[in-house]
Amino acid sequence: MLLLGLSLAALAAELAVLFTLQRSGARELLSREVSELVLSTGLFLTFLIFASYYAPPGAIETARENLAEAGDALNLIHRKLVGLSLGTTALGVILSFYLARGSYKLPEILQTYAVNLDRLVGPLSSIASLVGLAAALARHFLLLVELGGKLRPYLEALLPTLLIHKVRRFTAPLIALLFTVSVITPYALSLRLPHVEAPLHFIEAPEKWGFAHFKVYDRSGGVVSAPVLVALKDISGRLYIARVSHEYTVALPAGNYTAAWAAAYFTRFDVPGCCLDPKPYAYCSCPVWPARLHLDNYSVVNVQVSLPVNLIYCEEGVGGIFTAQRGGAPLPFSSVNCRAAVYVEPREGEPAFIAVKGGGYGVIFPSGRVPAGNGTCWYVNVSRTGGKPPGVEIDHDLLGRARRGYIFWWNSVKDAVAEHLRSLFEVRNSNTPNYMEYELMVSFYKGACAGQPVQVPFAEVLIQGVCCWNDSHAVPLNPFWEQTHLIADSLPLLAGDIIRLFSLLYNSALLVVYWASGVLLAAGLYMGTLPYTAKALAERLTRGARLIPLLSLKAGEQQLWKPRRSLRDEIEDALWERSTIKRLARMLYILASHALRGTVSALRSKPVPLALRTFEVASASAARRYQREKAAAPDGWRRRYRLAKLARESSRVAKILYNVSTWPSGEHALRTASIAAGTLGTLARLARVIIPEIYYRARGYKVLLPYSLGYKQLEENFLAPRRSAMTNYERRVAPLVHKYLQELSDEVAKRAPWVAASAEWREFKEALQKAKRLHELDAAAELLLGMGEDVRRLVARITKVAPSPWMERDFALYLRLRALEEFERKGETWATFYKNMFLHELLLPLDWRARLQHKLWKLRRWHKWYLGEPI
Amino acid sequence: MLEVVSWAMLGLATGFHAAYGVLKWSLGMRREALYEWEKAVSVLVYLLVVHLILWVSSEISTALGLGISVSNPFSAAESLRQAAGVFWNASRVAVDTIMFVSVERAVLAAAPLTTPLSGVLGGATGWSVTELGIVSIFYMHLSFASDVISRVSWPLLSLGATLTAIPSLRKAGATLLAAYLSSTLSLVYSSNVVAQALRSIRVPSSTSVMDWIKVAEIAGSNAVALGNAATHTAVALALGAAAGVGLAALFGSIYISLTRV
Repeated sequence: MLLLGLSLAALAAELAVLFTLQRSGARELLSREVSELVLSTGLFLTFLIFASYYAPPGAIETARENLAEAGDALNLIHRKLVGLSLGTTALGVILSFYLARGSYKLPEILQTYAVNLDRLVGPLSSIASLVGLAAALARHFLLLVELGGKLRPYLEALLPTLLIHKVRRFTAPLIALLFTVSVITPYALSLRLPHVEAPLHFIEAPEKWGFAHFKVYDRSGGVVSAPVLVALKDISGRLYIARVSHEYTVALPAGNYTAAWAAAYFTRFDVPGCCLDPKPYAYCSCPVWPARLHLDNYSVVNVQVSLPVNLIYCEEGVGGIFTAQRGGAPLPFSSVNCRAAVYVEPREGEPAFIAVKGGGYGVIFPSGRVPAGNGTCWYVNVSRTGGKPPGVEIDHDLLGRARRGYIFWWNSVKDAVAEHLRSLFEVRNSNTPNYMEYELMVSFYKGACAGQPVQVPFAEVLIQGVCCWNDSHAVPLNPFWEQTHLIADSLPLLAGDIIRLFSLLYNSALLVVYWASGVLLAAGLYMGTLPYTAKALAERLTRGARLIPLLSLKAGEQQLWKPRRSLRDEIEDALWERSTIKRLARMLYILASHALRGTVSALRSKPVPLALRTFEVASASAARRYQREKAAAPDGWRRRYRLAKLARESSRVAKILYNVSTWPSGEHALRTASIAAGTLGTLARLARVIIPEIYYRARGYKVLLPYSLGYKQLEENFLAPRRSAMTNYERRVAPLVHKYLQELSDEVAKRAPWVAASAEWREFKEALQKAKRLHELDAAAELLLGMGEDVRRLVARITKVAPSPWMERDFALYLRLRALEEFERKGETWATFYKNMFLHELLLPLDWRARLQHKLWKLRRWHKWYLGEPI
Repeated sequence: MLEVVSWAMLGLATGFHAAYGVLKWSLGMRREALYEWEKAVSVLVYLLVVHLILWVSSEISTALGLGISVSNPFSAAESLRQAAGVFWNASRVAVDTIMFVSVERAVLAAAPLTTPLSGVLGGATGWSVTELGIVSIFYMHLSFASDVISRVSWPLLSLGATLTAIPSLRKAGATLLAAYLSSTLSLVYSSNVVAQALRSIRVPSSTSVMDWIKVAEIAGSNAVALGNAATHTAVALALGAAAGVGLAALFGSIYISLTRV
């Protein structure tokens, strides 16, 4: 309110000065500035209401808390997602590769592993990046809101300056920006952002890894290159099943493990308790040794897998297992083409036992023909005993679960593995073969020979393999697959939540941008169009306002405040007032306005000499005072002496400058010296015209001097358009001139709408409408050009006629010449004649003397005009 | 060189108006002569006003502890040159951090066991690398802008002061003066903010094992520091631009003439 009052006071003071000085255009100025104030007050109230109602200072704190909460949540999710993708990568990818293939070709596989192609790790990394970006966006918004909070007091301080005349032009853009930052931004961001629940399952990547180096042997001590499953349990009970062969190395998270079992050909060989807790000197058959593994960081532990069976090797894998022993000693055997041949030497009373898991069997032995001594021969007897090979049937459900997990894992990573290496990990469709489990007892007895004797050292028991047990059956199991599976399932939900949050943040950002653009655009329009809007509004107010007495008063014809009489007359007039107070007030007003007008008049007429004289007197006075003080108080005389000297010097310089400024001009000096008609005076007068003429010619304007000097005389003497009734010349030319003036005025009104809104313009239009004859059109053109420098410049820009002091004459001639040229183009010769006459062009070719005389005549004519003499 | 040309331009403009005024005075066109002399004085007054604004800004910033040294056009040009260096350093720091992250990702991708971790590092540093990328481009252009403005600051000032004194060219001159003031103050302030941010920033070193391990953390903290400074800078530049528009309107619309009362 204080600022509004100050604004009104400043406005009133400015207008009072303008009215006192009787400056033209004061009426428009008053209306314009009142209109500006009305518009600015509206804007001020709009901003104020929005700032205090929709976005009070509390909104900043709300937006800050909101953004801080969203930022914290996003940062937490980002950290978890990064950890999750690291864990998924380490446990889901690397561990599975190891469990499936050990270190066999692993470097090559991982080297070809294409980054971001994994179906799980790729989206996880992308979501982590997206969440990180959302968190960064939230952080920037938070910073912006905090900055807005700091800038809010400046907005509140600057907002009322919209009401202050002139100052608003400086502060309006700043206010628009501050309003955007400290009001709109908190308002847009104070919307409640939803909470995002982090994914349910997290797996942390192990920091340390250890390696287990496997050596796999069968019952007979031969190395096993076929896939063997080894199950290890960690201390938390997770079961890792690795697919190993002889000399495989498997990486596992560092820690303590317990071997649970080893498996081959659908048979599980459990690790007995004695292996876990071995006693000295106690025999214990351990399929996996050591049964307790301690994997340290990057340490390698050797593990031996001893299968208690022998394997039947087929082309595509293992076809079966068997054990063959007699009296506790293993029997020799061979394994070829998916068959195992066990060689049993005939001995009486010592049966051999062959336990088989596989296909059927056959015995090759010529019973009754192998001599056993004493005229007897060996007979073989093979019978089933009901026994089984060691180990128990593998848990097929576990195998199925492992297979499903493996296929899920492989489908998610196979695109990221080079094509030529995929065959190492592909699992084919496979069925569990129809194997049999049985135990054969092979015994021999002696009997009578029944044929030609044959020397055969042993009976050959052929065991058929049933294919197969290979990589497609023996699939590893990574305990983290299930968690990875759950993560993959929850990923779309998480991504949806995050995208919703990101969208909200993005929408908030868009809201800020839209609002900010709107406010800044409005500010720009306000700054750009305010003068025009105010002017247009002012014109309407001035024309039609009846509500504002001052404007109504000013709209009238009589200008009451304008003193038309002398001071003496006014004072005499004031003395007739009956009321003493009124008389006194009127006297004071008259004295004050005359004093102000007198001062300004003096300043206007001789400002520099007046200022210099004032300064000289003041400096001299100061010098005298310092001199007196110096004499009165000897203390500090040096300083006073310096000041006095300075004041004296200033006074002296001001006096010299005053004398210089009051020197008469060169022209005046020449005139007073009675040599005004002399050469220098003439040159001075010439320079006053020639300098502007050269200037306007240099700027590309048409200067029709001196042709325009005498067009009136020519018309009066030869064409008689003024004295008599309308001649043919005038009848033909005047309509065209009228048309040109009409067109020109339309163009002026189009380019400068504020001119068209003024009262002078109406006067001009009325004159133009009434004008029929050339001198009336000249008067109308003078009215147009007399509307101000702006109009003169605009007309000059349109017509290229120089905006010189003699523009009215040039312009009148220009209009006539243009009309005549139009007739000339139509082939009317009289127009050519008249045009040449105006331009003093010779109609007939003359000799050079006549031409020279003509040129000299023109020169003399110019010269006379330049000197102000009658032509 | 441009400084000399600028001073010459100022001298020429002042001298021309003064001489033209003398000519008009001697020809008896005393009012017009006063106009001309007023124009000559206006050129000097505008220089003084700009100097005053710079000095006041410098004093206020010193009082607020901002440490902006733009007390006169000489020190302003020098501060702009230093600002260009600061912005360039900030851009380089951002680029170096991005390069370090990229190199580490490449190293991880090349080593057999760590190949999948390259993607993980990409996810961990995605936001910071994006932010650093934007920030590096932003600071690089600010560096160019500061350098250009430091070079043309004197011509801007002298041309602005010269043109503002001429009524028909006042708006153009006012725009130049406002552009000079707003760009100088906002860029120097922004460089100060960025310089403070640079103090807390460390470019990861390839010889430090810990930097290789904590690259995501380092890139994140660098992105936060430079990003926050970038937000401050953007707000400062926006405020500078708004103030510049206002100053241009102020210089272009308010003209106190003693001879035209």
